[in-house]
Amino acid sequence: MVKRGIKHLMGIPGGSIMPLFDALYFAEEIEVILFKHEQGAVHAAEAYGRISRRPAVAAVTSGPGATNVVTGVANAFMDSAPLIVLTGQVPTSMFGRDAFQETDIVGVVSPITKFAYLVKDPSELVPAFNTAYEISMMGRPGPTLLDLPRDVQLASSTGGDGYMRVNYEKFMPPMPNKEDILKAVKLLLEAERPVILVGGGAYWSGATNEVLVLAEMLGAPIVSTFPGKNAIPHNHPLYMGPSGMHGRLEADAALANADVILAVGTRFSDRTVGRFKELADKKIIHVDVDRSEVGKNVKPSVSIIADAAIALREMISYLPNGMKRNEEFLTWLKWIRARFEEALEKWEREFTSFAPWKVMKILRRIMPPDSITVTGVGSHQMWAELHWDVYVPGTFLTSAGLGTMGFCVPAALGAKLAAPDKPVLCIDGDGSFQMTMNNLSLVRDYNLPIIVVIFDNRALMLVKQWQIYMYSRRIIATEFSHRPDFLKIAEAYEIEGVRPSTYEEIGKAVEWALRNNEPIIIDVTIDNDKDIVLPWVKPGDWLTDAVKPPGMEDVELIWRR
Amino acid sequence: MAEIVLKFVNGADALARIMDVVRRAKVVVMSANVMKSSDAYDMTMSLSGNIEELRWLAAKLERLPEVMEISVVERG
Repeated sequence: MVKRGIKHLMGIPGGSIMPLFDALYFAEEIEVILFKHEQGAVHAAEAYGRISRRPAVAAVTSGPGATNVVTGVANAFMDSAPLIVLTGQVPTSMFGRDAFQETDIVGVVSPITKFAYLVKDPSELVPAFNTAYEISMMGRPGPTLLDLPRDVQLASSTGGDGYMRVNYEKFMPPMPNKEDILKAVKLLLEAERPVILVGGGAYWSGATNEVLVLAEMLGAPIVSTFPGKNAIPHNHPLYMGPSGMHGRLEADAALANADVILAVGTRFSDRTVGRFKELADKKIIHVDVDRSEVGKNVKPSVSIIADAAIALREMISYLPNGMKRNEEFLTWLKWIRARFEEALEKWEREFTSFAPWKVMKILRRIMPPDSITVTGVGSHQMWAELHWDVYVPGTFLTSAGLGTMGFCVPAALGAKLAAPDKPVLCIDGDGSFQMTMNNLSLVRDYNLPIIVVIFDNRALMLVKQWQIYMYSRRIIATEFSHRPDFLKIAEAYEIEGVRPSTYEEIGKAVEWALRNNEPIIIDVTIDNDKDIVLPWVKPGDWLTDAVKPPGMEDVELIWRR
Repeated sequence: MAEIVLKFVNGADALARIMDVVRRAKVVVMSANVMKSSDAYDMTMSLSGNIEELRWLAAKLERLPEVMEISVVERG
């Protein structure tokens, strides 16, 4: 780990991982960051890896320590994030005897890791770590796990450096096939309404600039998936926002009415496109580094297995300058955007407390453009999907694929650890916050001054929204009591706590924290009778069926010219 | 019908990972045979199912680092 330049290790020790932690006692180069729950350590390591663009390490003990990492590992797998987890294991002599804290963790995480390996021989230890590290980052990133029996940790090894025998070549993206590139260019040249759909893969490829150049040449609107928000600066005039279940209406309209979709680094999640049937009528160019994503959900007209930035650069080289733009289509999309903003202004008057999107806009205005933003999971996350503007690619972290409540606090701590000079904002909900708030002690323990804003509606609001609209208002197990008082939680962790009454007070609290480099918890009361996240494409619906906010009933998302 | 023929390393743990991928595909495993060779394991699976699904399964298996080689033999 020292040779790899690893500076932090996040985790919790226990019997089976004690030899590793004991070795860390002598490794001055690595600071051990002690979490309060293993799930928190893994979310933090994932966020650290996403910010630093290389895998971070979490280490835990066997049994419950290991099973507590499962959610974090699955989260990193679904969002294609680099991560290495080291789990302690009972001694090899005890295998299969149901020893104290014995769990077959490699068996448990097998479907949710890029690589998982039980090290039975001490000579394999260093090669296994090297392999786990490289595979985690090669091609499409993902989590790896090494299970380390206690006797293997204690043994001396002459194994030296090197790598394990596995197939590395497959993770090196092939160069794009020229014939496929030309086919794609032909489709783009013939398109009347081309749209670029950007996924999280575009960020990992570093393809932001290529996407923007291509969009400008084609005059094509850019739509993103939720993770793809992290790849595009939102102030670019061609960016329409994320599409899908809680996407922007102009993005839904762009994608639904495109005749050619250039999809870059995305798996065509149902969450992004609603349903797949209507996509069959469109010509789709699918660029992805992972062959198994192509044709999984949507059959493309052209598939290009390659690194996204390289493939897009190739396309750009074949496209002529001064191409005709469909200004009418773009104007229509911008009109939908204007109607959406107008509707929000009117809708805001119905809120007796805070309108969630207005809180987002205030936070965005005050937080520096390159600050890091993390969200939890719930209605606040959907408001952030809709209204949080990312200015600098790589600064927005959310749990998109797995939708893990509790992601925000530990991920924000991990992000702050990776980038101590950048302000880190955690936009959380009260339900999500309560799942991992025990990790807040790290704020003072390790001087990690994060800003936490809780959208506090005292409910599992997104689930309640489904109960209201899809289960005939049968509200069950989604409403919380007033307990606990989050200001007292803040006090317990020696963090400033504020419950603002006005938008101005929210702004002032954030400004105070930024100015003084201090942590703060801001408890923003949201009326849970009004907190219905719209627009909303219900599960199984098509993008044009989106339920729109009040005042937009006359706006159709179907292009009729 | 198709046969997926693959060569993998890392023994039973890798085999379990392979079967975890197969479990999630919409195919029926008609037969599976695994033999240890000198430096790896050779596996042949006969599968029935939609050919697109079988190709997708092969692409998914190909992602496993333990899988050194893989091919799909389509039959009828």
